[in-house]
Amino acid sequence: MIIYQGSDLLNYLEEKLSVFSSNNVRVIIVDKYYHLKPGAKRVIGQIREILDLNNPIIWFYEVDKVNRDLEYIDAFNLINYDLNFHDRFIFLYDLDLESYVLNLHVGTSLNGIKFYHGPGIFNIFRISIIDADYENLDSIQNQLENIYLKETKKEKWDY
Amino acid sequence: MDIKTFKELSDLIQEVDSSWFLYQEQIKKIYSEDNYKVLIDEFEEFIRNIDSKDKPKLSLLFYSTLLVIQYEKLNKIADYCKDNESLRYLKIGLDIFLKGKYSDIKYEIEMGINNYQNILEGIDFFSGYAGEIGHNLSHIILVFKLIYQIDKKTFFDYLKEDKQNGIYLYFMISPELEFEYPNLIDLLNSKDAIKRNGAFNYLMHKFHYLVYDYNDGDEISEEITTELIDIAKITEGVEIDKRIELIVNHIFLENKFPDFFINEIKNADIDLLLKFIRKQNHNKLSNIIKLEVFINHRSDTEIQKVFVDKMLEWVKKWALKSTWSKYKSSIKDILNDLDKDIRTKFREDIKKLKTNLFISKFDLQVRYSKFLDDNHKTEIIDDILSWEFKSYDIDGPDGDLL
Repeated sequence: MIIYQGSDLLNYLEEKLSVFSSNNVRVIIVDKYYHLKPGAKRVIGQIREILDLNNPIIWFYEVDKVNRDLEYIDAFNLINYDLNFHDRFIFLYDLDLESYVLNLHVGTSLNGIKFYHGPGIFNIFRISIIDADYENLDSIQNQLENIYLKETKKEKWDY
Repeated sequence: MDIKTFKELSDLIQEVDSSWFLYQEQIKKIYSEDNYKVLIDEFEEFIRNIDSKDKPKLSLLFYSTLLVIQYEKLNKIADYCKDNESLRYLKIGLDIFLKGKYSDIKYEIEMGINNYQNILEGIDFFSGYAGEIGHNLSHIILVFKLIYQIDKKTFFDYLKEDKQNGIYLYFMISPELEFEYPNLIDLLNSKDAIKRNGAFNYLMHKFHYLVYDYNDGDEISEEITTELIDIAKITEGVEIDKRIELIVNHIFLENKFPDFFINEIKNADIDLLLKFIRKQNHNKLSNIIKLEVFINHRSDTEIQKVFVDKMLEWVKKWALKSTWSKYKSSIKDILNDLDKDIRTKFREDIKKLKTNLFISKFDLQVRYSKFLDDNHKTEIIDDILSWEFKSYDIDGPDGDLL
């Protein structure tokens, strides 16, 4: 879906995520630019609110502009791992069902989203549900999970 | 047009935090006019009659905002103002701006390139964000384009002055302006690593486009051949240490590269080659594999030693089964081509590593996290130890296969 206004993006997230609001989920973001500009913060805030999330969002990055640990984000650097893609994703993993329940492909860095000029001014932005036959999805998710387990010494996407 | 006009423009600069093109209407309102000839004439008159040390800054403000509202007429504006006094002040203003000496209109940018050991890789990452620079600094980018249109040499002189490198990389990443390659030689020899790697990114841009769909064995088109000759000519003009740095960086980043890179590898001083090979991020298996290119074209064994050292380190610190399954057959092929002594030593080291892992039932019960991590490595080590290599390498009565 092409998004032209900030409010449309927030509505899109509401529509896609709210069905999982009572599930026990983890949110996994892959965006190599970990900057948390106001646009990204607003998206994260919206996700946390819709899902009533009580665990940190997992953010995989390569370039860190935050330089501090945030309570609501577990951030992991991909720079030493072999994930050679530039795409950005938001995945929802259901801890009880032990499966991914929603896979979103994001057409720009979350940090590229600007809301703060008002409703009339917003960078064009694309977000879509990933097709089930998306070629590398299994491999990407498998590798991310492996990295998470290695870095945290946990057994699954647990917290 | 008076000093109040520029006070308003100056205030507007503080307000802009996104694309300048979103502020076209506000700029037009401040000028009460959008005809470029009228505005340039008025400004020329204004600058002639004021006695101010701020003429360079005012000229930068004027031309950058004029170009935002009349960007499609950039070539005509260049023709119209090329002999004007204000253009001379604009260049001085741009120089001061690039040195960051205007407190109210300076630009600062953090690109994250230094997070990468391979600067060319950092630039490749940054290229995804060039659009954002194109928005935020569109007014200054337009000034650069204006100068390019009028005098290409001056354009490159000012580009070299960009200490922040944001505007510099914008032009090196985005092929908006088609530079003649000889203009790049100075930049490729720059003391600033971001500048020389940025220029190399530009130099290799067309080659990558041409070989994008090219497969081994395909006939090389005349266009590719011509491009290769052009690239080789320019590369010859780069000092040897910088040339080797750029070629090594490029090989670690890309899978396709010109044939003459191999000759450079063959003939390079081994210490120089090792210096830039060691600078790469060898925590990634995909990078360790790239060492094959160098191993295959050198008769000395130093790079083979780097390979086994880095492999051992990877298994110790970064081993991941999912990554291993993707690359293990390539690793096996490389090991197969190593000198027997080096391979034997590697196998011994790997064996020794296995004996130090926490993978017993006891470890499982009392130090679970350590067990989990090391269990990961066991499968990889077992894979390596199970591999059989060239039959003539069988040694010893115990029949160890190496």
